[in-house]
Amino acid sequence: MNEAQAIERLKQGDIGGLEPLVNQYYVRAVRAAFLVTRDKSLAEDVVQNAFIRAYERIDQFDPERSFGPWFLRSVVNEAINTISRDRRNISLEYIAPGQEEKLVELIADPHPGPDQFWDEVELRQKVWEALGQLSPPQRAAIVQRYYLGLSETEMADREQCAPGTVKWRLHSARQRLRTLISFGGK
Amino acid sequence: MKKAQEQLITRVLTDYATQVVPDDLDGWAAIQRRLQSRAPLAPARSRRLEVGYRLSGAGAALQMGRTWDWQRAYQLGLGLTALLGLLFTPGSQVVLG
Repeated sequence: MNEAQAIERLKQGDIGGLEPLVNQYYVRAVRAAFLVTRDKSLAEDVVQNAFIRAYERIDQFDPERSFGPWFLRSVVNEAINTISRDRRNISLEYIAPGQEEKLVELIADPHPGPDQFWDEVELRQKVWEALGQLSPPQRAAIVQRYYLGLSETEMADREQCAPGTVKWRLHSARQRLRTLISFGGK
Repeated sequence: MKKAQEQLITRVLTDYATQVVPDDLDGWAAIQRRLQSRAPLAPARSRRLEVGYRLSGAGAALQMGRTWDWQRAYQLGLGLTALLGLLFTPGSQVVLG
């Protein structure tokens, strides 16, 4: 069943149409929600609710458009609302102390020389920590732009949000990141 | 922001997300469990309305009908509506046990 057929089934009230969409978008959506909430369980909650809501509100979806960006935007918005509501947004809370360094080492490029390796590890850790210090909407803007690869127009689209607002939010997020990371010429 | 810095941010986001959230999550099973364990909440409804909605036979029927089992939904709806009718009819008594 392709995406259009799945959506057609959903529009007819058949929840079975959700399965191929879940199979296609679930992991990416949980990853995006995790990057905003920084809590894997919360991210899964957000995405499961978003799928159920997508089923309930499928009439609002224009089948001429792609489901992915529409759905992923709703996931990111729901992630912002959830952490703003719950105030459970403690940076790095999912990764226990001690595991953090191990994880950063794991994701560093395994091939550079020892000095470069530690520079890279340190820089990545700085970036991750700086992302944690952004406000939820700023972090969401960074996730949408740099992880999901959405354009500014796509980000603004259907959020009842002016393109200028998205541009400003991205600009302030980048500015804050630059200050927090102090890239040092890299 | 320089291109290299943007690429670094993309790499960090991708790597962290991939490390923490595995590829083999079974989302469909999780969503089915969620649908079976509780009816999905409509966020726009207030909590009080939600409780009333769930208590009413019609609400329960609609809720189940929205998922799968129309016949069970119909029967449950009839049963709950009759029970609520009895409970709230002045002068009536329901003896349990």
